[in-house]
Amino acid sequence: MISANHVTKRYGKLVANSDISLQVMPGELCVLLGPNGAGKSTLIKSICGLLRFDGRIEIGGHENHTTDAKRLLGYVPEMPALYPMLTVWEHLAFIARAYNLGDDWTARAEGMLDRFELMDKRDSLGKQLSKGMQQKLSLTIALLPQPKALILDEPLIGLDPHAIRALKDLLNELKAQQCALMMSTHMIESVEDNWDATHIMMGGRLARTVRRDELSTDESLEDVFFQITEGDVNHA
Amino acid sequence: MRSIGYLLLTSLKNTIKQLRESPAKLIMVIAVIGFMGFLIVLGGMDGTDSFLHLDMNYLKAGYFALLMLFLVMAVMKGLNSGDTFFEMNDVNMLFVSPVSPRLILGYGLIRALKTAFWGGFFLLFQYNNIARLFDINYGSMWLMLGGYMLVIVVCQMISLLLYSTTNGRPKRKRAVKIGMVILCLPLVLQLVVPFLQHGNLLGTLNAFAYSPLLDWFPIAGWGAGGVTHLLMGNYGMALLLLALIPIAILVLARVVLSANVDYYEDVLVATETMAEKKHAAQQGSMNTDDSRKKRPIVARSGDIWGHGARALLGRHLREMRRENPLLLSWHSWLVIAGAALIGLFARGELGMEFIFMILMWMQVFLVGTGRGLKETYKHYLYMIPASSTSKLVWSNMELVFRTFIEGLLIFPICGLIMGDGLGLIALCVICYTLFTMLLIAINLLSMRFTGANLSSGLMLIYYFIGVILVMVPGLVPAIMVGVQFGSLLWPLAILSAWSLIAALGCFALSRGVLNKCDMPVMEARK
Repeated sequence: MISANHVTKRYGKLVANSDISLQVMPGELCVLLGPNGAGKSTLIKSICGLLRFDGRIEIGGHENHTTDAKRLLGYVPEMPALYPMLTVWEHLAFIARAYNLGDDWTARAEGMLDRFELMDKRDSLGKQLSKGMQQKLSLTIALLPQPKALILDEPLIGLDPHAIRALKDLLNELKAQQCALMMSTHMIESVEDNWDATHIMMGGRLARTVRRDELSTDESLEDVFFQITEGDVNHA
Repeated sequence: MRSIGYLLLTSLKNTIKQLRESPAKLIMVIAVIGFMGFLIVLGGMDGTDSFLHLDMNYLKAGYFALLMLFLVMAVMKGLNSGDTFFEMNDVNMLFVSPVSPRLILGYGLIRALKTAFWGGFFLLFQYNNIARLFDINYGSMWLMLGGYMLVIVVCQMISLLLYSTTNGRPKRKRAVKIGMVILCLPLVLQLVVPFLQHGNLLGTLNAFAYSPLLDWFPIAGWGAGGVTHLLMGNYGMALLLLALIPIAILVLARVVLSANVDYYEDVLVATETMAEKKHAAQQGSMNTDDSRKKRPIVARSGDIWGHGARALLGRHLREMRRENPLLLSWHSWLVIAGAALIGLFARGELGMEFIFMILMWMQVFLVGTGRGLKETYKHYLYMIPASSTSKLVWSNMELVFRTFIEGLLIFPICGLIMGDGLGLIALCVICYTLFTMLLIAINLLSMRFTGANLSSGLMLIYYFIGVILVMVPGLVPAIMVGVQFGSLLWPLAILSAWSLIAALGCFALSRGVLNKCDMPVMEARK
């Protein structure tokens, strides 16, 4: 569903992403791990079509800048970027109209607001929400068009434990619905239960790709991460 | 003392070193120095191009109005969110260090001076206009900049003091507001009473410019009066007024340090608020009225007009209506009032073209204030499944609509004052709106060809070059026809037609712009 082929992103002399290739299949949760400055957010932004890059990125077989690709893709940015002068409900109405969602979106939107405990904030302005609530609304916005591929950049930051559990449940449901999920995080333990593939990034490169079935029973994702980030990358 | 000195010098040294690594910044610095050199050369030309020789009291009144604006803003900030001349790094490292709070305050003031210098740099750009009006030299502009910087530093001190003494104390806030009203009352009376008595606006404004009240109005009056008396050669009066400003700084510093030795807490809150705003802006969460404390009334929360890319305009109109109960922003109303005032002054001497040219010139700079450009800093614009051009066109329509409404108010009012016909008024509205559309198109075109991968300064230079290049083929025939027929109707018609054609051309050339540039990140200003 998500396919990046030989993606390179340069900022002048700095190579933020170097020749990265990866795939995320439907129903798969792919995790991007890596220290700060490894290039995770840059890769995510390139996939979402927010940055220029060399290489090719496809969403559901469509080049990522096409409207067909955009219709399939949802994105939750690291920092929620809301419109301060729109209410919670108006954010959803705007997305519904911009994505031409038809008339059945309202019931779905209400369900999601309920799930993320935002129903009582329905008429609150974006700027009146706390950081955690903004993050929840950002998630709701990304999910409203029912994307076939969802990309989440550090989605757990700012969420309370209750919301983290709700998000984990949601990710499992999306997986079951064959949605391709890509998520960057520093909180390895938060994805230990439901990850399928993990790409460990360092210095703008993919240092190692690990699939869940490749790990031995006494090995955890955290162990692999520290082996790679603190050990010899060339062994990858 | 050594630590503060080290911090200042090392920061300066690293800023200079960084220029070697950033050619764009180096070009900007060279351009600024070159411009200053150009102004010095211009200033050395013995004032031969000065032709109006207006009374210096008019300069004092204008300068006073500018300083007064900053003073009122400082008081309002002090009463609301507070202002700060510190950054989070100062809070986290200096405030917890064993450096004396007095020294840290002094360091903050030096930083405030630096910020005031760059903030006031625009004054130097006005040299040519002011010199033509008042017959002053380039050195005088530096004096005006110096006065401005001093006043800004005092304003920041006032803001800090007000915040630390009134934060969470509604009664004190009310007392400060009442105090400000009482302080401004003589000025208001000086304007209103003669006007009501004689009904002569020009005469009233003229008398106001000569009023000694301006000189003695705290801070803004001392700065404006001190500098203009210096320029007029009234050195005694100038020194007396200017001496009051450093005294005010010392008194305010004394009050801050003695009345509230632990001013850190207040500074911390204001600095954190500022840092959060900067961070939010960098992440695309920016809105001109984001900082407003007052909760806007959500009269209607519901559906939004438009589908697909048109929903962007629907959303912008909803935001516009919610932010501005009077439909237009206070800035737009100010422009309308200003244009009407110019119309009053220029009646009988200058025509509508004078107002039209000023508005067009302002629009070149103000086109960036629309929601369309800000939209490019958020990911939604890039991810909505619609064509790049349609998204950009619809996201900029709010500015076109706003300009049209402004035009509908400005030109009929000015036309009425100046006695112009309906045809000219209608053409002015059309041309003004189409010119805005053209500026938006040029903006997109410069984004398309630079990939928006430039510093904002260089981006601005490209934009200006673009405006000049695109406008010349329309302006030249418009001016020629205007000179030939002595009427404004045909030049406006030509300019309107050219703006429309050129705008459509630029829109066509900038196709796919969103796919060709990186989503920009708001630069955090120090």
